[in-house]
Amino acid sequence: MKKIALAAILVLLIALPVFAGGSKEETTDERVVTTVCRASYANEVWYNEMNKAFEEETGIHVIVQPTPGNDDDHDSKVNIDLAAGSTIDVIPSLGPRYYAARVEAGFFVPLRELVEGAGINAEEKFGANLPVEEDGDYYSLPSKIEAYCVFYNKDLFDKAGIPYPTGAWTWDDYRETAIALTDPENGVYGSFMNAENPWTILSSVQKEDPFYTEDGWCNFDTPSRREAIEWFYDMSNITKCQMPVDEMLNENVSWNYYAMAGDHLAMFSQGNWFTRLLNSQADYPRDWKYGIALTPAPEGANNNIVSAAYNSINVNAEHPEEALEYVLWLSENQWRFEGGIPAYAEMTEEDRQIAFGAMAEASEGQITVDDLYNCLVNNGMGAVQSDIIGTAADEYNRIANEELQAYFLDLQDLDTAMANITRRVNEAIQSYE
Amino acid sequence: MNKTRLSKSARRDERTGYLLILPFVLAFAVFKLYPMLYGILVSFWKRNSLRTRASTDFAGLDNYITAIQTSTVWTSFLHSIVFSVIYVVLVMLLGFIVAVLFNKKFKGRTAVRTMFYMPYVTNMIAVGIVFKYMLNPTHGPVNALWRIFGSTGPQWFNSPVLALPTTTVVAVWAALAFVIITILAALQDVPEELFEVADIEGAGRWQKIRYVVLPMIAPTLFMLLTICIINSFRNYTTIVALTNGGPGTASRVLSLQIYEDAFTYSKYGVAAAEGVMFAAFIIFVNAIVSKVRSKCLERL
Repeated sequence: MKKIALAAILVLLIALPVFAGGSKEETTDERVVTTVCRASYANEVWYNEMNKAFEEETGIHVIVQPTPGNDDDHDSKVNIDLAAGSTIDVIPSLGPRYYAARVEAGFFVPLRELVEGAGINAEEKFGANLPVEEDGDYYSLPSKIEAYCVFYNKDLFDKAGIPYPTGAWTWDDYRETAIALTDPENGVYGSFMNAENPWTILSSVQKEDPFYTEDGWCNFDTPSRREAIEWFYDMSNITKCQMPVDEMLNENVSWNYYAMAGDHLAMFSQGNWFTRLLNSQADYPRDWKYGIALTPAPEGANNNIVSAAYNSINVNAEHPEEALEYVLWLSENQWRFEGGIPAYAEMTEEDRQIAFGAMAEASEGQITVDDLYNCLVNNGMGAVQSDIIGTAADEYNRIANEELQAYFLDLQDLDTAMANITRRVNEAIQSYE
Repeated sequence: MNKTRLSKSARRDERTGYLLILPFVLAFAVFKLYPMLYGILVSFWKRNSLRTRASTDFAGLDNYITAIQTSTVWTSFLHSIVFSVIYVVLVMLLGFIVAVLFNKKFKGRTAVRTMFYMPYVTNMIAVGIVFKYMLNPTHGPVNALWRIFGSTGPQWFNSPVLALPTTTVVAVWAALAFVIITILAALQDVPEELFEVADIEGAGRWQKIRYVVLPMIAPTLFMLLTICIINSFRNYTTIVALTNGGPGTASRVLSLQIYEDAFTYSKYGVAAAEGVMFAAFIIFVNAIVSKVRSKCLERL
């Protein structure tokens, strides 16, 4: 009998954790909203202050579930969670690629009726930044936009006796400047761009060269794409004014590399989000001054590259009313805390001062509100988005990066790379439902 | 034995036995058997996008055909085979040699053994970070040897030729301890008298290994071979920690392909089909090993 009792206790002890699901989050009448964020956000001051401000204003408690890993990991995990029927209320999507895939999957609540019910005309407020779908509805409100620009190391320009870049310029001008700034003996590269989309194909993106044919197949191998890739190859492998790809791999270069190693990288094509890193002496100590310039443009395609961040309500949201309040509040306030650009159709002088004032102030005089406004918004350029959007877009993106990496490492020629991209992407499109 | 004739206490013991194995059976059924069967089912469903994530529409063999027609699947499969062959040969050979050396008494044996065992308990991501530094062509200590002669030396992880073998060698280094411990345990079970007889017969060192050691530890070696073959295909962490499949697709293995197809691109049906075919291949290889083992053990 004792043996049976002992065995039964053991079974119970082992089985209990399987069925122990955890208690419900709310034990009182407290109003809550749940959301996810990248792990890096969870410790950022602005993110926590933003949620605190929302809580103080609305009395709704924000429960945040951070996702470990890098940006791609975060988005994959969020997708898996949503596919498994997650009841998280508010889902942020950074960039149109993930947002479009989630809308197509039916993860989000249509917002037009709810937003109009709250007395807001989103189309008037956000203009072209509101992602209206083919069904005429929209499934998110944008919380900020992100615009590309060029950051430069003023000390390296001064040392080389080259004037700082001002006003509109072309990629040829950029290349000439980068060559003049490159100093191999001192390990200085004139240019640094990440060896992945969209940097490897920047000018073709600016020319709005479509990624898909009209009947939905891969359209990567185009003259403008080849021209852009060959330009990147020339910078990295021939004139060597851009850090070569093998060195990037050896250095384990990540997205924030320039903030750590900008002392020997004269120019850096990125976007306004990077000011947060360049202004953070605590996380990225820096003893050189930086400036900001317009994104260069190819002949006949005066477009800047612009992306956006969106917040949506999960169709399975446990607290849909609170979720709507949070999404509306974020569309008005996230950029103020994060230091981004509001996604409004029109920026008022006050918005401009708030958006760029904090960035300029944190830079301690290295960049001004006017520098930022003129480079990022009032730059006389059109706007194109950076992501590949369409069937099997994630896979398309990864395949292009892999094959072009092999080309930049001289492991294959461009014809082979293009043929491989076209074949592999078409296989991916074929397998997608 | 007839069950009805069991005594009362024997029946109680039997019930206790079943109860004691019940937790394992339950856990196995919930966490292994069910996912395995579900995976096989998914491989026959049209579930290849976020939109069709819950679809149970029958796809027939479409997912299998798609997987077979995808060129990257074949490249990844080939890389998995290369990884496996290098891994199994090196880990078994080095494991055997080191275990034979460790079986002898020498000064500092305990310290050396501990050093060999340490990689086995080290996190693979940490191993990846250390090796990426050690083998860095511009700053790493290994390539410092080449830098003395004015060359940067091999691009261990950036060369399409070297990336996969280098990664495999790191995996071997990390797994060696398990093989050494197991072979060492088997060696210590070989009766001393057999070596004494061999000495009397005038056998040399190689003859002792060939005619005494190998026959005695053959069952252990075959068991290890099976485990190593299975482990060699479970290389996802090693690849992600060191090369993430690069440069280009030079070290992309099937486990990475399956993971990405499922969890990055939401092609659950195709990924499940790839997984089922891969599992079938591993079972087939192990069946061959099992046949060879039976024949070899019969001869001994």
